[in-house]
Amino acid sequence: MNNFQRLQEEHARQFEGLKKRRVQQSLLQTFGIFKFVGQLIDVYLPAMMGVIVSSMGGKIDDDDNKGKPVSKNLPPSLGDDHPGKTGPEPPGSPDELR
Amino acid sequence: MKDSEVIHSYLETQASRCFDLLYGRYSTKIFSKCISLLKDEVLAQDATQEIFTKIFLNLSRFGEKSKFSTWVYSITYNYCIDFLRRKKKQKDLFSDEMEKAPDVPENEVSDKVLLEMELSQLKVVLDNLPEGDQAILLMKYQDGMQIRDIAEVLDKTESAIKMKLKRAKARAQQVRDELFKEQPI
Repeated sequence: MNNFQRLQEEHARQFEGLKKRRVQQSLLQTFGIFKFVGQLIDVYLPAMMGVIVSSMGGKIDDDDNKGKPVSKNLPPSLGDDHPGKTGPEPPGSPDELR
Repeated sequence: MKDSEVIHSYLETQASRCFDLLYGRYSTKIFSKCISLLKDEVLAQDATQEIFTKIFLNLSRFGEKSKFSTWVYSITYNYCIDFLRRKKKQKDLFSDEMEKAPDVPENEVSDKVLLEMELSQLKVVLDNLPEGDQAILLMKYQDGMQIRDIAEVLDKTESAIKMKLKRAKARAQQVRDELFKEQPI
């Protein structure tokens, strides 16, 4: 080991312990924020693009959904029969009149 | 586990264990270079954090053309050099110094003179050198980088690096002679 490397070791000792852990924690927080922002973008960006396109009067090309059963594209309340399919009945429905 | 294996594993799994491994291996070295060049502990800590952020955000771009350590050091040196450049508003720490550089003695200063310089003297000498000289000496003698790698990091030709190294060594000896006239090496 030469003196340049000894100098490096001396500087490294200044960093060991609390300072090293503090920087590590800070980095993990930063990466956590990046990950969260990335996930938000993943989830909301396609939906936002859809809103922008439709607000400008465009049509969303829904090629991916062609050929799929219609019910798969509907919200649960309008889809296939399953518990909770319809949600609350509209006013004036037979149940209310009874 | 080799660096390349840790990197592959991190890219696949994003496991914090891989991050901890790389952080453990390189953080003190990065900090040491930062404090040598920036000469301020707080700045060096901030720099270490930013350099690690850069490294991990660009990890997928590491092409394994060079060693991972060389890639890490190149990010570190370039960060510090850019920082100092911005601070001093200096155009280029490694600008072509050929015209303004002092005459370099015919006889090249031998590596031995620098490597065997007393630690306390070496510290003072490095502190009194221009940052560009300091960086190039650290790359060569602390990191053991090849001229080719230094040239790649600084985006210069190999012959330019050889000349800069020769000048940096000459200046180091000059500073040492001025500051420690009476003391032996």
